[in-house]
Amino acid sequence: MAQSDVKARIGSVQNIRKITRAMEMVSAARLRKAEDRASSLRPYADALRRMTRQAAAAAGAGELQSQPVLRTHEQENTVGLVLVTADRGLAGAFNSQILRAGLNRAAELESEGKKVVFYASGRRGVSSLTFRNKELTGQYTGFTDAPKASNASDIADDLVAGFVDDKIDRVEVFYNSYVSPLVQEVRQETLLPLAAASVVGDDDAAEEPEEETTGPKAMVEYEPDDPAELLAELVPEFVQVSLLRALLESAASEHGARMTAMRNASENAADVIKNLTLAMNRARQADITQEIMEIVAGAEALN
Amino acid sequence: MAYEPFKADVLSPGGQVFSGEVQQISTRTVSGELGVLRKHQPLLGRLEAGELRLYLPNDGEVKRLVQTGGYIQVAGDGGVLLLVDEAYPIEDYDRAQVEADQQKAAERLEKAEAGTEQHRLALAGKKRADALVKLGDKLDKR
Repeated sequence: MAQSDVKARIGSVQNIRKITRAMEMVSAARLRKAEDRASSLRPYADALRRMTRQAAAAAGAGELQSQPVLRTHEQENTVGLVLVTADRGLAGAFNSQILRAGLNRAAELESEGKKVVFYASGRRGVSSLTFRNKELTGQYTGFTDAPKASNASDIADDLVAGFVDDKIDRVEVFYNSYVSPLVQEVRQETLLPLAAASVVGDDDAAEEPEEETTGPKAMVEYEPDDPAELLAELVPEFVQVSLLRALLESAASEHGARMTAMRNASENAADVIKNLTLAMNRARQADITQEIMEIVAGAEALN
Repeated sequence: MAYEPFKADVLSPGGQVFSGEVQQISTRTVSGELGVLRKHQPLLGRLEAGELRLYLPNDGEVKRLVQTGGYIQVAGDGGVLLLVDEAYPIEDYDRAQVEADQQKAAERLEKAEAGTEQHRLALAGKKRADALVKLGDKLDKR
């Protein structure tokens, strides 16, 4: 390769490294904020989940059928899958692992003879599902790097409305849960019906002492008087908060994943620059050697 | 006069609003004004938009907040937990903003088709906005 070509390539790789470095920095800054928001929601989400579980236990299985939003549909024909992705790529396996998990689940459900409808948050999810000709009932974009409560309630309203109007019989959500800046885990949660939701018979039920057992259940006062009515209010709230949590965790994961991906890209660019510089120096040295040899050869010819 | 203090927590999606000892809580549920003292009967209730007052122990200082809705739980051990959608100091109450929200909620309700879940949600939004405007009336009178 000629020297000038190598020089041009070094220049372009250096520019790429500048961009990936900047993106890493931006993601790192946003990560802290997203992480803060996700962790400040966590106590509220946990408390709400506990409260929902308690009200569900008090209401009893029979009463769960009395309100449309609490009902378990007799036949589970249509399943709504919510895929929480990002608006942008350049974040490693962040988007593809959600899509893979969602599509695998869809294939599994379809093999059982059920219909699957998709709800996608994030442009990446929307475009990839549209490309695959999947039925996209809801698409929500433009907020994934800093989701607000209203974004979650938009999605939750559609899901709850779909469930109550018998358009979907079950809701599952897939998102990247935030473990650390380096580690994101795909998590799957069932939101509706309540009987299948992670809220009833949840694994953390074992850890916490059952408060209700200390006193008779009848002693608990309810406002409104009917626990089922209270549950009918709590469940949409539970869906909304669970979604908000998924969105916030996903946002933190997105920034973490992008930060890692961009750091790897910057390091890779540094390696490429090093190799190209070596190649360029070698080429220059070869040119110089060549020239000296020519001069020496010319001088010898004169003698 | 001072009552015996007990533990109370107020949580919102944005984080912890309050955590500590109080001698009395005054809030608003769907069935009306509710006052909670120590050793209140176990309770699980839906909160409505309105004023939330936390009476701090000893010096009788009162923390006044605006709640936009949520849930209250009095546990068997007497601890009180309030989950609020949103809570902000009462000094930040903005009459114009609240009235604008009421207008928006009314428009949304008009657009929603009766009988659907969207309609039910819009109705709840309208009720919340109305309650907040009413709170403004009450504050003006004082």
